[in-house]
Amino acid sequence: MALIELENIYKTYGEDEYTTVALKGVDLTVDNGEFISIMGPSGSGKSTLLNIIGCMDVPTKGVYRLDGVNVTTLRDKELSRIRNQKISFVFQHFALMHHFTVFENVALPLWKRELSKKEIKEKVDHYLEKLGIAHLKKKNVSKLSGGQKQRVAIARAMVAETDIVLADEPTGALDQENGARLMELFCQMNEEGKCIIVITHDEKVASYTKRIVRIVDGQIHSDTKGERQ
Amino acid sequence: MIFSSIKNQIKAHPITTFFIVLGLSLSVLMISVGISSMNYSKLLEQEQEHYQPRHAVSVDITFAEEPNWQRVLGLFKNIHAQTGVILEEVTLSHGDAMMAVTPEYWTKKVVERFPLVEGRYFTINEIQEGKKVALVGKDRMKDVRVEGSDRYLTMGHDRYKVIGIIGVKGKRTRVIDYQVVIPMTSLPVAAINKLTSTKQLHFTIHNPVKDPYEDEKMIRQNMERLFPAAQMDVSPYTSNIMLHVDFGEQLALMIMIYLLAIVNAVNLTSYWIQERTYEIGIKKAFGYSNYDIVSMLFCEMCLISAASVLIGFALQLLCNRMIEQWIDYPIHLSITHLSTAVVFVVLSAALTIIIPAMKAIRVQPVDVMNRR
Ligand SMILES: Nc1ncnc2c1ncn2[C@@H]1O[C@H](COP(=O)(O)OP(=O)(O)O)[C@@H](O)[C@H]1O
Ligand SMILES: [Mg+2]
Repeated sequence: MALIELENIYKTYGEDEYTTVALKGVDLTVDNGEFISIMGPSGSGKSTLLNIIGCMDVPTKGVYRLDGVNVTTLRDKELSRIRNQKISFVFQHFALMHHFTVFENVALPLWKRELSKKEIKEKVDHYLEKLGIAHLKKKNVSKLSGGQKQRVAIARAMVAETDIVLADEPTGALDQENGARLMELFCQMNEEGKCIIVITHDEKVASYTKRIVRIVDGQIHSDTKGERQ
Repeated sequence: MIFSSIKNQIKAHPITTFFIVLGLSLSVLMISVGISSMNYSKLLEQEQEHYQPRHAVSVDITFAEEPNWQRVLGLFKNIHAQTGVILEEVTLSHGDAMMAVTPEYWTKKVVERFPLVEGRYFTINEIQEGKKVALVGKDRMKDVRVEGSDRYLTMGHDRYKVIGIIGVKGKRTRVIDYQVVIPMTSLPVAAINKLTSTKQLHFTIHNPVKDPYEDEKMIRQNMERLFPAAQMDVSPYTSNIMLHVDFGEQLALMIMIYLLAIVNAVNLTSYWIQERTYEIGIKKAFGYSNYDIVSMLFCEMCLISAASVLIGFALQLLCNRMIEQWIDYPIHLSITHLSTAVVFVVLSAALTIIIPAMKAIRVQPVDVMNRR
């Protein structure tokens, strides 16, 4: 059974004459442990697709099965549960909660789990250590540099220990060096068995992945699998 | 989590939080003061009910000319043994101030009207002989001078020996504690002259066991004999302490102030939520449901209004300490206060959160995720 199964997915924004059809019949199947990049011109529907995969948005038409469960019919409560337990996100602009510390940001997904405070603390500490930002733990995130912020975001995605990690142009706001470091981390996570889907413009970023899906105008244009190039 | 979240919010939006707390605190203060004054009025009413003269009627006599005082006392000849007389609206000078006193009179037997903390009540001899003796309430003890083993209260040019302290041990009894009770017959000459010069006499007759109809008749007979031209009016007894507390009006005022505070809080919280859509979007992306978000906001508002309650109560205690000298106000917080506080906290939080919660529910993680 595939991890992610998208069947004839449509997504329309707006109403009447102002509608935009962002996705036009997308079929996509992703298995456990895949490392995929989604590429395509700006406005082609990449983010829309990723948001639907991440259960943050619902398709207008079509069926999405995650782990065999049709999630298109689920309600807020169940969707948020899936987001918490199965999916982690990394965003271009980091999406960290301002005014909160590094620890509080990283621990965010864990408060919804049945864990003790001590367990939460241990897990967070472990990943902060792993990413070399343990010393920033008590710092307010708004005081960090871009590279540090993205590591906090990665730590938050790692600490959740979900099977799926989704990243929407994660290197977009980073310099070359930090971007390369981030991709190394994704490779590492993939080797540990996680399924990673990365949206990118950057061929170099895509070269880290094992499968490249190209989208043009809301439709899948090509889908090439290969060993890491 | 909720504590660190609210701590962060306060740090991030100190002014907004300050005004929410300020608004709610002030309304707690107003509600608390309102409850205190209602409690106080109720207490006074009860005390007054309890200590007012039994089976009493008010009598007004208008004389044709200035009456002779000894003759005035003759009005009460042959009234019932237990029936007492209280002269109303009598004040005596004490130093520079005027002091309200309660002159009492019986013809055959003294009936104790007030409980005693110490000492003794008047004897019938003291009443009949016009002895300068006084019973004083606790609050009047500060006006009393100690000389040797005796205590005296100077009123007019006379020194009254304090023979007893009236009141209830260990408890304030406002209708008693300010009183000075003396035999009617002991009034200083100057006071008597002033009284008779008005050609008016207001007094209350009372009896511990039965309505004093016969005494009323007897007094009328005496009057017709002693002062043929005088007029007598009898009316039901009304307390000389005026208690006009309109509970409905107070309640309406409190509710209005509360609603104002809520409107203020709703405004500020809505604005606050606006500022927090980013945080809420992120929380949703990482698995918080609408229910989680709304209950988080509700808990935060509960904490904020609980803090406001504490501040409001503290303000009241503080204010009370300061204004206690001027107006007599009880400073204790009652069960009513505490239960109102609980209702206040939950209600305020619920009311304040409705509009912001609807806003928060509409936040979609996708709307905010790619914002800088
Ligand atoms: N919330 C939205 N409301 C209306 N139109 C949207 C919304 N989100 C995306 N779109 C439109 O859908 C299309 C695809 O957008 P998006 O998925 O963000 O593309 P990409 O990420 O590939 O740049 C674009 O034309 C965009 O304008
Ligand atoms: Mg995009």
